[in-house]
Amino acid sequence: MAAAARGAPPGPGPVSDAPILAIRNLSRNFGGLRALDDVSLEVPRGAVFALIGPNGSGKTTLFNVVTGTLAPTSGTILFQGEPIAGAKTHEIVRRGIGRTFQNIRLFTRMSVFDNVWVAVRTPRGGDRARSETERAEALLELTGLTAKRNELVENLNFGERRRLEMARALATEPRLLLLDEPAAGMGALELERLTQDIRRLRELGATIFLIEHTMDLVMGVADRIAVLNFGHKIAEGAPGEIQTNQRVIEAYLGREGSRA
Amino acid sequence: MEYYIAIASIIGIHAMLGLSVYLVAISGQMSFGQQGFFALGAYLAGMSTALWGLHLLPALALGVVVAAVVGLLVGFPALRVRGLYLAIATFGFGEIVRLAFLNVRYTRRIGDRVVGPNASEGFRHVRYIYDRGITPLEYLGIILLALAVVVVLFFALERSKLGATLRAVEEDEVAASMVGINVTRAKVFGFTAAAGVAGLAGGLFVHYSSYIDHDMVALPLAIASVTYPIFGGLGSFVGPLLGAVVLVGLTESLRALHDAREIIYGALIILTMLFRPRGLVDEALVLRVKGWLRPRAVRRPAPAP
Repeated sequence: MAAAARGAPPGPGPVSDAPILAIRNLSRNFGGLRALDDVSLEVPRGAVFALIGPNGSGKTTLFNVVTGTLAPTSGTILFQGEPIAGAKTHEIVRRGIGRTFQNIRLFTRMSVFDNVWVAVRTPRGGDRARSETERAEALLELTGLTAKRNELVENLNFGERRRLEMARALATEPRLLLLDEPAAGMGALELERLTQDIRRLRELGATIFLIEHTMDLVMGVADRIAVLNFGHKIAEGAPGEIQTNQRVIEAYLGREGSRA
Repeated sequence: MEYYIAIASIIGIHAMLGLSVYLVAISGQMSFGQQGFFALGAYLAGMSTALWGLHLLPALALGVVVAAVVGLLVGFPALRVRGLYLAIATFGFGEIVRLAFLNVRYTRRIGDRVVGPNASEGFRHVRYIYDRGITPLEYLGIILLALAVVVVLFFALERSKLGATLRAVEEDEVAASMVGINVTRAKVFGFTAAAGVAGLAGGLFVHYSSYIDHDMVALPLAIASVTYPIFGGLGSFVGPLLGAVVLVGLTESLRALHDAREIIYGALIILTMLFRPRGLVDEALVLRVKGWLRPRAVRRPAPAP
């Protein structure tokens, strides 16, 4: 089941290279507002795929629809070839999608250890030999939180909270990990560590789909980038292409395209 | 002596009610309807021994099962609403049960007594413990034994993954579902199990007092049940136990003050909510105590939490 770690080249390929996540003609309305308008994109297996765009462009809404927190108004979502649009969140998670939140949502009245432990689940065909406790400990080790395992979440600093949320998301053993602005509020040192973490996860075979504003991170880790603006996908391509894309520059800087 | 036995019996029964509300609370809900399940347990267990001649144990078990099944049926629709709406919906349920027992008549003449739920007259002559010569002290033993069984179950629950799951749901349903938790199932489990616990408390109560009527399962009982965990704390099952001991004890020891004790009682609740919003035994305290109890040297993967 575990996808072999390989630098999957973007673009269509044979069956085994089918995208892990395929979003087709996805729309979501809030009353009269079209938060997502006919968005289609494919996240290649094993890739780091970044979703960028100005505030309010629909990025988090897209994550909410993919994870079943919101139902789509129309369109389909295929995860590993199976439709998941409209399924319950916990079912989607159990199929292999994990997620962190833009505004960190930890269980603040539980210990650091319990936050991860409660998320550990032995998947079908998973490694049952290692107990759930051991897996939670291993994730704390991985994220450098072992020393804090018995603390309440409220005693953690910001960077530690982000890492704990990552550990919790990894505890569900996702094949696809959705990170919503993981670098928000991070200093240079923490950013460096996050960049390494994302690269390492990718080497371990995970596919990463992230929303991010910090361009250093996006350009450093992403294989492919899609750009949303007012609910439309306005561009998609390799980092180099996106940086020079005229529509992207306009979306961020205004129509004249001149630097402020 | 008998006075203290009576108070201890009441504390034991109310502690169970407190645990029932607590179990609902740690799965993210607030119920003002546990007295409804208490009433169901009381009437069913009472009818089982007084009318149908069952032994106490199967009678109590029947009360628990009926309360839990009703809890399950009520749970599904009720849990679609939250917070204050849920509090009102559950209280509405409690009132429905109360008014049902105010109107239901299901009696039989046994000797010169009319036994069974008799509408506004109440359900008299649940004489099981008197007929068998069980002393109040012995019956207190039975109550405490039942409470011990419930406490052991809570102890196990809180160390289990299920306990952590309920608490995750309490804190953040979206985050909980995002780690693969079936939120609806967790809440319905909490509500159903809590209904069973309240049913057990009711069954024990009716045999203790030999009598129950609709007035005894009205709003004051709902408020008392909710107060124990709120005052005692939501960090551990110790909280509602402590709440019941202190508050029932206080109510009794201040009897001389008449109505003034209600003021003291109310002030205590308000002070707790202001200064310790999660009650005396809150999560931070529980973690600190666990830290004291943990052996110092252990650093590496301790096998148990």
